[in-house]
Amino acid sequence: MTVEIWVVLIVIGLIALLALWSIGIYNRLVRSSVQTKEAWSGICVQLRRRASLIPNLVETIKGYASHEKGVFEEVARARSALQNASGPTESTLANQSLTAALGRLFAVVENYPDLKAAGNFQDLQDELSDVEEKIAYARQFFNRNAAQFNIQIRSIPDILIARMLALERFEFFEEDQDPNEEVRVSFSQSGGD
Amino acid sequence: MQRSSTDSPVLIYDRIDANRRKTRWLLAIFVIVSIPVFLFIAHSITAVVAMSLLMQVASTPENAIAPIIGVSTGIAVLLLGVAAELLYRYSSRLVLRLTGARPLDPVEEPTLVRTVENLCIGAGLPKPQLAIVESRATNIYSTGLEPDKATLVVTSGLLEALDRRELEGVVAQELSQIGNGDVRLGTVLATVMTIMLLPYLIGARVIKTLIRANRGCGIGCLFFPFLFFVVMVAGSAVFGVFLISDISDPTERLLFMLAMLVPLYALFIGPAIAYMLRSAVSREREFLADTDAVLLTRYPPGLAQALAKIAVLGNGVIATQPTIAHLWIVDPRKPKPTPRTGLFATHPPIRERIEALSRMGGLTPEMLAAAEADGHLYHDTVAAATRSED
Repeated sequence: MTVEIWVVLIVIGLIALLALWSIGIYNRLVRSSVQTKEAWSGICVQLRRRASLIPNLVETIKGYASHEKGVFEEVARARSALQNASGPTESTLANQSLTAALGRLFAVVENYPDLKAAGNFQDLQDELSDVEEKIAYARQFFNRNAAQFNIQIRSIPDILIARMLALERFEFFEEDQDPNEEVRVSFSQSGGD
Repeated sequence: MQRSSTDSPVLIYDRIDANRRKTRWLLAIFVIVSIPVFLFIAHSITAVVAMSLLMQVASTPENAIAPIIGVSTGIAVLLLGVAAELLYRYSSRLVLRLTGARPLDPVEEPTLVRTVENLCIGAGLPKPQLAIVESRATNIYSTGLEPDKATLVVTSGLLEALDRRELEGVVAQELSQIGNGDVRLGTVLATVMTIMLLPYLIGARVIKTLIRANRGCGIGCLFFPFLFFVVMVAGSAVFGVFLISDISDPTERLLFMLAMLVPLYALFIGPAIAYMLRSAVSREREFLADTDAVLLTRYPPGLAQALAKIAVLGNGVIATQPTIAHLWIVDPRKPKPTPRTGLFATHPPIRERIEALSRMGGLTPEMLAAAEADGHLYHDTVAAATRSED
């Protein structure tokens, strides 16, 4: 075989390798992206669960403290804001305001010992704190996936394919800075969990 | 939530990566060490079958010997493969039955159910089935070859002794093992080890029946097969010496002597090395799972305190088989009579695990001391209850 034919074969071989390699990277990015989106919908499931608990909670509290209208309205507004939010950044802000509103609601409850002792209120409180924990874990899972994806699209060589596809980084779903919660150690340097 | 400033942020992920790489190396060496052993076992089975075939067709010309040996080797390998496959597939059910685990009704333990549920959300894993072993021992394990077919098994003692944060820690550790494929890896290794140790186990049984000794497995367990193989090796050495005297060519002599060493390797050295490698893999994966667990719960003291408590309380579960010891979070076998440390240990020492966890931050000696004190208190309560029952 002549030299020219060898050269042609090698070039074809290299192109084939390049194609396979690109396909591998593309598939990896797709999988990472889809997993992250799925993780986001996991958060939405928990947020919706909390949203469905809130009307019940508000009704129970209204039964004992019907004149605290300001707080109820605040909660209702924050709740609908969260339901209308789209994407992690909007949801983060809406979530923070809802958490603040709920905080004020529970502060109100402190003044009504009958309410605090009521069985159905305590059940709702338990359920709510369980949902909050689920939200926290779902957020953690989402942020981990988002971080992984963000790292991938900025690493060489994936960055080449990512730029071609104009992939954008995911925003993290931030947590609330509540100084009363216990210390939990964090393993990431920036953003998210 | 405050962020701890004393953590090195990337350390955890680096540690996870390093651990995974180490495991891959260990596994590669394990495979290399195991292959000759399997070939030997296959050929031993072959020899038996081939001999009986040859006896039947005594007048067969010489060129029929090779195909007969070929066919019987094929059958032997096939049998071994089928045995491996069966062991692998039914391992889960077998393990559950061996440990006496019964399925847990969600109503019975709502805290556990909730903890498992929430951690699964954090880990992105499907919820495993739950089962419980009625035992005062405090231990937990998981089984099942795929995350969606997994079962998480706790002892009733564990549920009583640990508080919520500690329970979270150990459940997270088990979920990490499910997610990392440690259970599947452990099952594969256990299956391979069982097959490799078959001559060992058979030899031990034979000698035990001959001497009519019925002691449980312990240091004595090592003695009987050792005796068996010393006898075999000595026997074949003597036999070989007689044959060698017929061989005059020095190269042939050398080859013959090397051939005599093969059974020694396949039946003794090979499995021993493989056992140590498997234990090394098992230990690395435990560290990895500990780290992953903390990554999930973001609370190293939870798991650390749980381990401290378990160390105090005793993790020995009644009626547990040595072959599945590696599945539990802490070695369930009693320390006597065989030492479970060093190269043969399936789990890293608890002290080391706690130390590794305390390096991740958030843990103080006071917390550990408090956990141990709790453990002692619980132990005394249980002991008093047992005494009043008797």
